Amino acid sequence: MIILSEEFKRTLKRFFTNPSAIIGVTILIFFVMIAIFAPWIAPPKLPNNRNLDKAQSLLDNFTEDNKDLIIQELKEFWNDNYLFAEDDYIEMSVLMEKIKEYQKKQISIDELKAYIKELTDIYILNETYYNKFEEETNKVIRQLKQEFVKAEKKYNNSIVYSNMIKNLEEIEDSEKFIKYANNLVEEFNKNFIKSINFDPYIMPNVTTTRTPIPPSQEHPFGIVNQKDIFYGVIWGTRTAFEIGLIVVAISTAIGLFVGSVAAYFGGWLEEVLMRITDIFMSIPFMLAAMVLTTILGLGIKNMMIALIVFGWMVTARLIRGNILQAKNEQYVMAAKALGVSDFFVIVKHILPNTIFPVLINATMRIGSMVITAAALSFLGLGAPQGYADWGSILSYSRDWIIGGTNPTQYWFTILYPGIAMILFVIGWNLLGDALRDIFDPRMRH
Amino acid sequence: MKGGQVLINTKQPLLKVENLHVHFKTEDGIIKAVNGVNFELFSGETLAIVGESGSGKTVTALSTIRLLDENGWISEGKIRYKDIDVLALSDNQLRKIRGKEISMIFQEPMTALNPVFTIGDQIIESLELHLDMGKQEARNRAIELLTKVGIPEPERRIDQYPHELSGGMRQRAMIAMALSCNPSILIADEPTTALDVTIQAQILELMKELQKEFQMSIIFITHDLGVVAEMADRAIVMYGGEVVESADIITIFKKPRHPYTWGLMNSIPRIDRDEERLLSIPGVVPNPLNFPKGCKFSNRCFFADKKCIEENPNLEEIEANHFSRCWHIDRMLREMHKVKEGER
Repeated sequence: MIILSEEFKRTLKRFFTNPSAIIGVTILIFFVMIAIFAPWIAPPKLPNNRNLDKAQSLLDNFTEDNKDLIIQELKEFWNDNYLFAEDDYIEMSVLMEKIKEYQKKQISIDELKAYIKELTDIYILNETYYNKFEEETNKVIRQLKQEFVKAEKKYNNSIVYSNMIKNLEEIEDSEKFIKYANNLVEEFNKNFIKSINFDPYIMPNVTTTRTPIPPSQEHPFGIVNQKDIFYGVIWGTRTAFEIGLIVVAISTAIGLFVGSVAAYFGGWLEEVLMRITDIFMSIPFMLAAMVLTTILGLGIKNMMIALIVFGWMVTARLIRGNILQAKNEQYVMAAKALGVSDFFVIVKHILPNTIFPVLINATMRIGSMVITAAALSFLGLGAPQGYADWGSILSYSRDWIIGGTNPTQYWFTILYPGIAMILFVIGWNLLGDALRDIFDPRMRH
Repeated sequence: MKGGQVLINTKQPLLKVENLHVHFKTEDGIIKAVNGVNFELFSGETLAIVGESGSGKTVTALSTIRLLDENGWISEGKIRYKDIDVLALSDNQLRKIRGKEISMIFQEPMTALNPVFTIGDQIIESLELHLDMGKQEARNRAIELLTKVGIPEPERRIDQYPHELSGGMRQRAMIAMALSCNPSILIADEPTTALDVTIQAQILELMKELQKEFQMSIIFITHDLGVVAEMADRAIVMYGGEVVESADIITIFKKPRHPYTWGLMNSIPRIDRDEERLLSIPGVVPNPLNFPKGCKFSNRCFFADKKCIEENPNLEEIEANHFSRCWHIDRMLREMHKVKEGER
């Protein structure tokens, strides 16, 4: 224990006396903070349910006389939204029963379909469930079960809310009343936002004109294609981390597996694996990623899959080369001569000597992966329209690069997302450099 | 220490290697690195295996704990350690012998220690593995071992990385590692070759002391006859994967009976002779695939004739416990005589 902490202290000391480590870590901490506090730095404009507006405004200008009116409003809202929750829930539970019976082959498919038809007729279910039932029975049943869970939740909520309204009627004290009512309105709204699948990553439109608007007090980075660049840059930080970390983590894991299996087992297995690696390497990365993204369909997830599929080869080669080299080192022989088992020779003696280049490579790749993703987004292949992603904002600026009256007129469309991206990459690169200097004992002087 | 062969031979050997054949598969074909080597190692003695690079001396020693590269295998032979048939052991059983019973030190102290672990870690690893020691106990023992091998300030050194130590210190740490479990046999593969001459002497002295203290046998692999004279009780000279001569150390130096051994002796610089040039054995050890058909040494031998090229001599016992593999010992003796006359 004492040994460990001593060593740990030394490592920390080395880390914090390394200038590139400090700069890199500072930049990255800055980005992490932005990513974490994005909802506070650039609060998404949550949509409000119009039907609650009146209750809200009454609450904001509260007088004792309004009490009944507010309760009235909330009751109406409840009636509009939750009155049928119980019925829906009962109908859905019957449907679940029928599905169970169907699965036990106690009723025919037609009977079940007839019941689904009934439910679609009273607008409890979407018609597609009925239409697609025969084609994709299992999938539809799975979705119906999810619908049931939703209905159950809504029913439970309806009971909670109706109780809350009842409680509200009994509250005498106005301050307590306001607090309680506000709470209820908030709850209603939260459920509303959930029900319309609100996504804060979609940049909202803030103007009606497409022409970029230069930075102002309200929109500090300016506006391009109706989107607030500030909002996009802040929320895009999360996207950048998501893409960088996930893609690099998975592709590095794949590379490590392929490379180490090839190096340990050797023979024809190594030959096959390394030739596959060569084949993947021979395809131009950008082109391959573009084609695969197009095949899989646009979107962040598919873009990430494409980047992973064509991003593991360097790691595989690196680890294989390192292991082959380390395998012939005398300390491996020495460890074997001491009677250390193969597994521990690999884990304790070979991996620590081979993993550093891979980790450093991975760290640096996180930054460059974000650039690649931005390039794909720039080409229109990555993030969907309006998604908060640095590359997407840059792709908006494509239309305005030439500018209006002079080429630099719309400088802000490219500058802010560009700066964010450059800082992000520099941060990871500096960290990677510093890690190599610090953790690789062979580099210690 | 020297000349104890009569006494030694009456005892049961600690390690007995019989008719050992080791082959390696390479892209150019199968290399027969060791061909029919026999030797015995007795308790407490030092056996030197002498030869040039590629003579099979290291492979012979490594075979005793089956520590061969993946492409190599023992194709024939018997290896007995005490009453254990080493070749019949499972990997698990073998690991219990390695490091605990038969331990090894290597030529390059620079590379034989793992650069990412402190020397303490590496000694403790072996202690935990074989002796079931706890962390603290193993650490204390490691410090004790480092003191024994003459490393100053062991409490500080134990937490240092190999690159923070000098070559001699590393070799001492390596020895501490090898001796950690009190092995009965220590295989030393050219342990002093990579060191400065002054450090060499210190390490050899240390090994002698430790041998006495731990009462172990040493197999000393080297090409340096000076070291052999210093350390060994008996020596086997190897060439081309075969034993060409074996005897106790005095006999080997006083009465070499193989042209190769004689050649090796002549290539040691000697202060008592005033020679313009050192005599050396002409040529180099051929590629193992291209050894001559008959006597392996025939293409470099001063005495070689047609018979040598066609037929490999057997290893004959020319006097008690002195073996040689040569057709022309008589001619060689005459030649040696002439040289001696010339010296006078």
